[in-house]
Amino acid sequence: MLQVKDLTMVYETDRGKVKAVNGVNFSIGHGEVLGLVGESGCGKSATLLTLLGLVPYPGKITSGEILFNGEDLRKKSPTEMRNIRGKDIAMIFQDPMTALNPVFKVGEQIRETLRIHGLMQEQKGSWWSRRKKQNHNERERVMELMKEVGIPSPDERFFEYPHQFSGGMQQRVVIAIALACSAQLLLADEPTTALDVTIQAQILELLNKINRERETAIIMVTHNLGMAAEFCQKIAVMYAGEIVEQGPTDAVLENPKHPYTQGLLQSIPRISERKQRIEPIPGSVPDLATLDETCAFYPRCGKRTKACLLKKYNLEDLGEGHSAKCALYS
Amino acid sequence: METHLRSLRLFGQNLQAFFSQLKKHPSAWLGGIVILLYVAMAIIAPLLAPHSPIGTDLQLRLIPPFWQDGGTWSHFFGTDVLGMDLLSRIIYGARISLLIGFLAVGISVLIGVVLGMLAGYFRGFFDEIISRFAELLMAFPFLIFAIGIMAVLGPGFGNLLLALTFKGWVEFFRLVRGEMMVEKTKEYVEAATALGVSHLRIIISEILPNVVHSILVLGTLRLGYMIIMEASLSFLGLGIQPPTPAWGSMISAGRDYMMTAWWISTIPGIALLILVLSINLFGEGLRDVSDPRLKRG
Repeated sequence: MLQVKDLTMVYETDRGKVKAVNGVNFSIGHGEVLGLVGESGCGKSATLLTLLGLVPYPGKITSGEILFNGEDLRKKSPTEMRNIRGKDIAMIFQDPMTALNPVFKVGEQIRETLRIHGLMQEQKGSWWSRRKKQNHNERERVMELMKEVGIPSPDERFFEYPHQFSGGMQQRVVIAIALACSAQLLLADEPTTALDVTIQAQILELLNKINRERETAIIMVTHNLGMAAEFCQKIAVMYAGEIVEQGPTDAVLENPKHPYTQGLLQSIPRISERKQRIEPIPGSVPDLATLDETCAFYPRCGKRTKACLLKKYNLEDLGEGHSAKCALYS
Repeated sequence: METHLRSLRLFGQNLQAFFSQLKKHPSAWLGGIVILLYVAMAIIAPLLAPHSPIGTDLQLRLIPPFWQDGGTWSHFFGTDVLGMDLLSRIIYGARISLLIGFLAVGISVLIGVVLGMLAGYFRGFFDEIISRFAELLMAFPFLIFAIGIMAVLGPGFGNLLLALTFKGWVEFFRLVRGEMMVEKTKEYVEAATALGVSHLRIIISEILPNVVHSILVLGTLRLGYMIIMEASLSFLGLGIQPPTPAWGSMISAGRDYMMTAWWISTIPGIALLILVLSINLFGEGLRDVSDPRLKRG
């Protein structure tokens, strides 16, 4: 359904070009869940925004294709893009507290999505009766959505303001807004990071249900490998704007190939193995402005060799859809 | 039907909450009532004024207010040099002050808010130009600037309005532009963009409701200032010309007689003082009450 080919997004700063998204390739089919995993600042969120054509200033897409149902989104006009946003591809934000407009009633905010995309419009009758009917239908639909995302007594809560909702309930509202137009693809930007652990599980369960029942594809950005393991069918690990390893969740997590993925997995504490020390990855994410074509992980890598610096390596297929970008495998 | 009722009831509740909040600020409450009284006075001036505001009678000149020796009840606050009834002139003068004040603030808000929202949202070249121009205007003291304009254009109602708004919009522009730049980076704007909302709609129906309370508060505070400015210009003979009753020119007319007939200057001055003080008290209270982002519960 969505195929991203060689997507590159560059921030043009005073210090030169910063490749925030660097030659990224991935695809996602109907009803699939893809996890984008990586440290802070590795380009996960930038990738999502780029997909929607909302490149943050001063960014620019320099190359690549974003094929959505066979059509290249990069070639769409701003108006066409606006019609796709929210309707076919919807986004769920990290912090529901700020993603909702504080001065509008929650129900109105869900209803607005229906309005913008001209859904539930009535054709018959006078202007007045059309309006009345449409209002009624929209309200019914909003109640349905609120029920679906698990907001209790929606007919009361329709009229409340975001600050009267708890964090978990706010996130449910954000999800309801994303679902309003039955989008085929949901982009979830760390949807549970701002919530506490018990609520996280509920929200994940909700997203899971949506994925199962509506067959909505979800791309989920997270830095929580455990969550990705539980929730996603495919995982793509990002580092410094590139995908360094991707494949089916089980393959990537049980048999990680790229030294970075291995490092990530080793830095998670395990309950089963006692007294094992956590191995952090030394160093920190490099300055993206100073990178050249060779492996960005080289300075921090425990398995680096001279071969690493020779040339640029591409994602190498390791069988069963599992691939990694490393000198070790080419 | 039931949902409509609920919506209506909610509006009623919000209104009630607003007023009960306002009641906690007795000064704002008082200010609001006094402003309303002034507005009512200006509207029904012909019914209230005992005499014509511009009728002169040289036989009745310089009558003191009723509580002083020689004062009469028929001229409550006394008369001025030309024998015009002060009370009537003060009542009619409220019309000029309030009209100029509201119009000047209204036009300033309109210009400032529109430009500020566009500049703050889109930034770029347009913002640069407008902002530099605004900074240029900020460099002049308001009164001197207004005196300059009035000196060039000559006195009159329209010119007075022009002089006051020519610089008056800058405050609103800067406020709204700043607020806009803050709000623009908030996630709800990003969320709206991700939903496919157009720029214009984001500006008007997403961001504007979030900044309208600060516009309201600044507008109220500027209202008092504009009224003072009008009075100052009229005092200097550059604003509303006698015999049209305006408090500024009334104060000015009486300043030669301060030693012998203090009331000619002082009483219009007190009327002005009470109005501006009330507006400012009301504005302060409004600021505390109206911010939806401070409201919790």
